[in-house]
Amino acid sequence: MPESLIPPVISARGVVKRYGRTVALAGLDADIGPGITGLLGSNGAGKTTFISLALGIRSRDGGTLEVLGHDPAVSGIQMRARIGYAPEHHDLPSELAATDLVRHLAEMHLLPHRAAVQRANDALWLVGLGEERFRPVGAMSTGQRQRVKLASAIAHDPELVLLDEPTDGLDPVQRTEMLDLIRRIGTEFGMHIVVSSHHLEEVERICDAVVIVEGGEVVHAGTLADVRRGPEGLVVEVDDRADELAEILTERGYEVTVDGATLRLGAAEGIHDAVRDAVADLGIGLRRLGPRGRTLEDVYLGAGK
Amino acid sequence: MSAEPGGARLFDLGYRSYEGARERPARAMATLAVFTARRVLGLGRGGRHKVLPAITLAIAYLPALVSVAFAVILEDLPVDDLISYGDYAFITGSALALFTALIAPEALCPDRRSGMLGLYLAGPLDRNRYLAAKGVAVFAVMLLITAGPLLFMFVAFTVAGHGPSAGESPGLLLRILASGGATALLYASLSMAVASFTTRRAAAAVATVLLLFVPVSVVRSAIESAGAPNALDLLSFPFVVADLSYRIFGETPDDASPVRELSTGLVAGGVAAAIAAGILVCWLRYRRLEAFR
Amino acid sequence: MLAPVPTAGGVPLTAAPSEPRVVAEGVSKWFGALVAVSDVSFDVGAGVTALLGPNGAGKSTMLRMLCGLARPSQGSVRVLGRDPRTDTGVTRLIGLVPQQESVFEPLTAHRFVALAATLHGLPEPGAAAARVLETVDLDPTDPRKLPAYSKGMRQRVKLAQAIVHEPALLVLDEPLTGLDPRQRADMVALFRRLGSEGRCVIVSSHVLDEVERLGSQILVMSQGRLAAAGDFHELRALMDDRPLRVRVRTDRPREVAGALLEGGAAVGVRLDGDDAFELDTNDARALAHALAPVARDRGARLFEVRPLDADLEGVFRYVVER
Repeated sequence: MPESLIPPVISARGVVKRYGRTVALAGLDADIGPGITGLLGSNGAGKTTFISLALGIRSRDGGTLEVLGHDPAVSGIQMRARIGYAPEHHDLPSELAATDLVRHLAEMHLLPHRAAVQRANDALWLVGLGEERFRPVGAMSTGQRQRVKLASAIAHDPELVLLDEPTDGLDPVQRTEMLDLIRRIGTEFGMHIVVSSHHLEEVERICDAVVIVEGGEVVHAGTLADVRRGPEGLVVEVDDRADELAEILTERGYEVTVDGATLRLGAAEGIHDAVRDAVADLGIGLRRLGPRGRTLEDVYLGAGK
Repeated sequence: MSAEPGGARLFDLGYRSYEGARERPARAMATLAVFTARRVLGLGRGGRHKVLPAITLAIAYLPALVSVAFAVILEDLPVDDLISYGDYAFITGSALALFTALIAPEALCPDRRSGMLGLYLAGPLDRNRYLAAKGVAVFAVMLLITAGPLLFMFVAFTVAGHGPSAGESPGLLLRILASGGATALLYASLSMAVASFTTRRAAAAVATVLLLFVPVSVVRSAIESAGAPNALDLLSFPFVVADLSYRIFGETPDDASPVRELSTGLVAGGVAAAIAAGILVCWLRYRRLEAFR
Repeated sequence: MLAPVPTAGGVPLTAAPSEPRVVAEGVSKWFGALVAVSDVSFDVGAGVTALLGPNGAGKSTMLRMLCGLARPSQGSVRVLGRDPRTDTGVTRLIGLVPQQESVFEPLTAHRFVALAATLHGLPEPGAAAARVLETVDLDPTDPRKLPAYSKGMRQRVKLAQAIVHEPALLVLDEPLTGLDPRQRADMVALFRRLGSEGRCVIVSSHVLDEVERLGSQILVMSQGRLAAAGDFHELRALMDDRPLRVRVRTDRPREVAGALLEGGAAVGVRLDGDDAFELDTNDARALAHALAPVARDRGARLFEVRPLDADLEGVFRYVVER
């Protein structure tokens, strides 16, 4: 089926949510499609509120919302049986063993007992906690807890998985592992995933599409392929005298911005040779050179308030 | 799998999607109720969580066991000298109240403290179903203490030949369930209401004990010295519960509590009102609760 | 803006930028049988230094000792030559932005920062507070109380409060959490500016993409010990059991690859189609300097030069997993 004909997994039109006099969501429109979508925005932008509305845990004050074909406010119970969710906070019942927790939640998501036992086991091995699965959750590190949350979200084989800040508290190596795991789950296991995060580079790394939320509204939505399309400039990293290099290139009429040891240049005729020659003339080291498509950051900074 | 010659196989250990049958949403409530009841009784948890439940069960069932033992051993012991059904409720009252103070907090508080409530509500449950499941669990466990020993006595006496006649049995059975059920329902709803106000089990337990016992002394002074209406005695829950049991079994206790003076309608109404109030408070608290941080 | 001549605690920072401001020598810290930090020695000069490490590596404990909030069980910490724990004068030279969300009083930002200035004994706390709030791009006359501020704004107030007394040492624990890219870019620019004024800025973070923008000085802790220190490019060069692999895209791959091999900048090359090749080198610096001149001499256009596994993450992994 052509991608454009696959219906969105979550569809929102004019969604409004107020807490007292604060407007958390001010008419949000979004289509979150199949695949892995990043819900990107700084803290307080409205991401977690949107997720709680999509799950039907809170009721919205306006607009329409459809998740997996259901209106969460109407048939939320049936809908939630098919969704997996990993919340942002790290609180979990401390004395339950990981395997008991995952199994219990799978059963609570309507899996028969035997299937729940088996799939909890599989899920924990999948996220790399196979050997630790009998340990109480309270004795686990942040990294392990994040993985327990992920295992509970997928054990019952849901259609849609919502992950809220899944890399929070993880060190660089653990982050990469978690992101790779999420990518795998989204691409190989046939589950749609929504990752809510304020880490732009992480979203860029694993998502197919992104919805940027700021101030309770969507400021940009689209696939990452679309984001990257666009005139290609050049990024150059040198080991010394970056400012001088920038000056030389500017004098030659190119548009240059400098960021420490890195230069970004707008697309132009002859730019590759100009850079090569200027670097050679200055006798500095060329560490990196490459095409620079638009990045999410450009979109963010261009579209944001 | 048997391997035929040349039939070696590599099995894919990758992800398996689940194509099997799934339960209906109501099943989630049953799962939660059973899970909660087991946890409250200490089943599936370490040894130290079984201590208090075991002690309480022992206290609750001991008089029944003793009575039955006596009845069996001393065959011609007059039945009247044994504990009556009505007396039973009164005797086990304290153990009952203390256990009450532990069950509801154990059932409700940890979920809010540990973030589990949020995870539950992110599944095929809503707050009402969640509370209903928890209520059933707490009620069932309480019933184990209130009606359980009486039922045991009933069955044991009947088997030992000291039981009531065949004609009376259904009536007695009904009374046992009514008395045990009413008591369990009252204590369950009051303790759940209290537990809905705090995430700390110890605080909820203490508050429940206070709620059950403080009115007993305060109310009496208020009535005698300040001339408050006698109906205020309905707030002395342990006495109310005992008195209701006596009335259901049609017995008159030797030391009657002041509740005895009130009409049956008032007592029954008072109990019903307290049950309703507890449920309402609990429901309202949970409606407003932030399940998310 | 801050005072025209960078000062720390009222004393002009005239020391040469390369002189170390923070020196740790043989520092260890244990809690009973738990060793949190084990024999760590380093010196940090002016500029921005990133402190990295897996969870549980001892970073937070180390940072606390640098600020004088904890005492080393062994060894010494010196900030501008003084002991931050015992020398009360030196706390005026240190600013700390901890990770946890502080409890915010119902004060205006200006009030809050002025209070900090007063506690530090600054002569004109109100003016200092106003100046520093403008530095972090907040309005000193804003009448709103702190609880009404967004997280990003509160983060900036925390920073303002930590720099109002112009500290020589600024320690930040995950300061970019929760900020959107614009706020993040502004903060990073601010840290770099503070660093170039001669202050010592130490940032602890897990998010390598953000750390990369701060500069290339890093300290890596692992298992309580110091696993690496210095410029991360140089660290990469030190990873000598791993030759650096670089991918080059050019319209004359054969010529360029051949020349680099001949010149010794590369020790191995693999052609990849008509427009690219991959090379291995044991001397990253020589390669970097050879690329542009060689390409020019051969009349080859360079489209892409991409080191594989030389980014901060690659270095981090290598250091931590040894």
